[in-house]
Amino acid sequence: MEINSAATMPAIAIKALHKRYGTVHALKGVSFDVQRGEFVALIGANGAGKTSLLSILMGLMPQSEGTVQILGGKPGDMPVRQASGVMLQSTSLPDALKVSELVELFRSYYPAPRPLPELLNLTGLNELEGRRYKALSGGQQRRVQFALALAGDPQLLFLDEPTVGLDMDVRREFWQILDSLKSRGVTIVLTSHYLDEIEALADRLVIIKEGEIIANDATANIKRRVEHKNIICQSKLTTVELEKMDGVISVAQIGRLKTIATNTENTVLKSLLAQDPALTDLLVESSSLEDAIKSMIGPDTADTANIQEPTQ
Amino acid sequence: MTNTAQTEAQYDGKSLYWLECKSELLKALRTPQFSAPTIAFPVVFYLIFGVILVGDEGAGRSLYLLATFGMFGAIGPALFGFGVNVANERSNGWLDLKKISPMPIAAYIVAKLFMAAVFGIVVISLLTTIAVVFGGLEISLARWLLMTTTQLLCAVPFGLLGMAIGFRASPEAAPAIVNILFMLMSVFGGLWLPITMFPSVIQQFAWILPTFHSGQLAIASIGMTSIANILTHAALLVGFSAIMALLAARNYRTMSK
Repeated sequence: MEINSAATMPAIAIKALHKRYGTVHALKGVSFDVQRGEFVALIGANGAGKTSLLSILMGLMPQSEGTVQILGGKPGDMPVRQASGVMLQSTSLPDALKVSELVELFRSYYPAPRPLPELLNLTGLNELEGRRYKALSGGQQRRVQFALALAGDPQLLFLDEPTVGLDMDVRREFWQILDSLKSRGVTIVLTSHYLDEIEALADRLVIIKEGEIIANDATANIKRRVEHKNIICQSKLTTVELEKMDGVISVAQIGRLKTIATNTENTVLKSLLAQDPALTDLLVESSSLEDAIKSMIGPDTADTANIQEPTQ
Repeated sequence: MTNTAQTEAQYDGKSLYWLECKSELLKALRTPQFSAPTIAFPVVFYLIFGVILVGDEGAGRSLYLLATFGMFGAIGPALFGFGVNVANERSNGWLDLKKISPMPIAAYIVAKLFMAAVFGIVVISLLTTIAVVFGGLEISLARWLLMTTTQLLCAVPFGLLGMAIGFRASPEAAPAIVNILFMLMSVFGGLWLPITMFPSVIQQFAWILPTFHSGQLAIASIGMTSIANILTHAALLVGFSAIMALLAARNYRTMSK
């Protein structure tokens, strides 16, 4: 299926996109491109506009203003649907159908589907094909949903919180599959609250806050925006005392551990040890992607425990 | 270009419609909460009203009630299959996933109609067997086919009504709405007891119920006399269907989770 002859054309081009629900202005002029073969992560707090943006890209609802081009067409156009695959955040598939029946059904929707054994193999569903969906674990159900997303051998994948509730092993397996899809040239748009996932996979981050894009840059560049070190320790010194030290940017306390952000870790460590020789559990870390994103969208928003996205 | 043409030639969509229908039927058969009541209710009611309570009135009464209870049995899976199942699939994301996929929405509707028709045929066949075995009914195959076809066609407007509900109501509210509508419309539309047994006020009221017109057409299909002529009932049913189709289409366009 050749639906975009100009290979240089971006896979997704979004220009001045607005979405209003009554008086709520959910998207306020969002513009960005996703290149072919690129892996882009959308990041934002709950209610930042991620769900609205994805719903528009998937053709589930119209925008209020602006233009969206996907693979040279409009969201919801048949050729676009035939070339895309999606994993929605919260979906229940029909309980009573077997894994193979569900995958076969979705295969029948596409002009050039991936063969069934290949799909089952890729998503680790080989042994489960005769099992009813109801009888699967949460992680296995998520794999079936992934198999449906891949059924049409898509050029473009939308993954909305694909690994919520999965354990680490399964998530890592999932990352490997995504990596192999990326090397086949599949364009991937992902939302996730797991920043380790994003750091491991995404070429580029698009960060949305209150309906506007506040950052759109390579993952490494965004990480570099916050280039401090974190000194983590247990100390008798109070937060206020620590904040007064030279070179300290900020201090955060989580449980008994204090995290001191600084650009001059040597100086801070010296005064720290001088003032509290008995400090324990000392650890010095480079700032993480999480720090960078927290500094941009606020501390509560990168909270991995809070994975609920409001439904419309 | 030749490549595209070839791909499209192989992709005729036949297997899509067939698999969609098959999946819908398997889902319904494997869901006892759906299959048991849609089959058991008409069978039990027909046994009581059409066979046990008929007594001396005999085969004529059994045949009349075969038409109306068969109609009742054909409406059930159409109304529940659309009303309740669509509401569930809309709210749990399955419909969204299908809308995003290349599945044509027509396949979704055809599959549900197919499922309702298969269930309708099963119920009508069971009722006919009961009537023949216990009620001493004699009916020709041609007559039976005419009756069954009429009942299945006259159940389509209820699929549209179900769709209008399913695209709008919450999955919690949908079963209650559908149950209440189904029971009230069946009783007061004369599907359980002949409409002529009701006081005249209710007989007048029945005219606004689609069940009344469906029931009367089913009665006509077995060669008995309907209240008004066939075309009047059919025209009113078509009008009802058109309104429901518009409502369903509107609710589909504006639907939310």
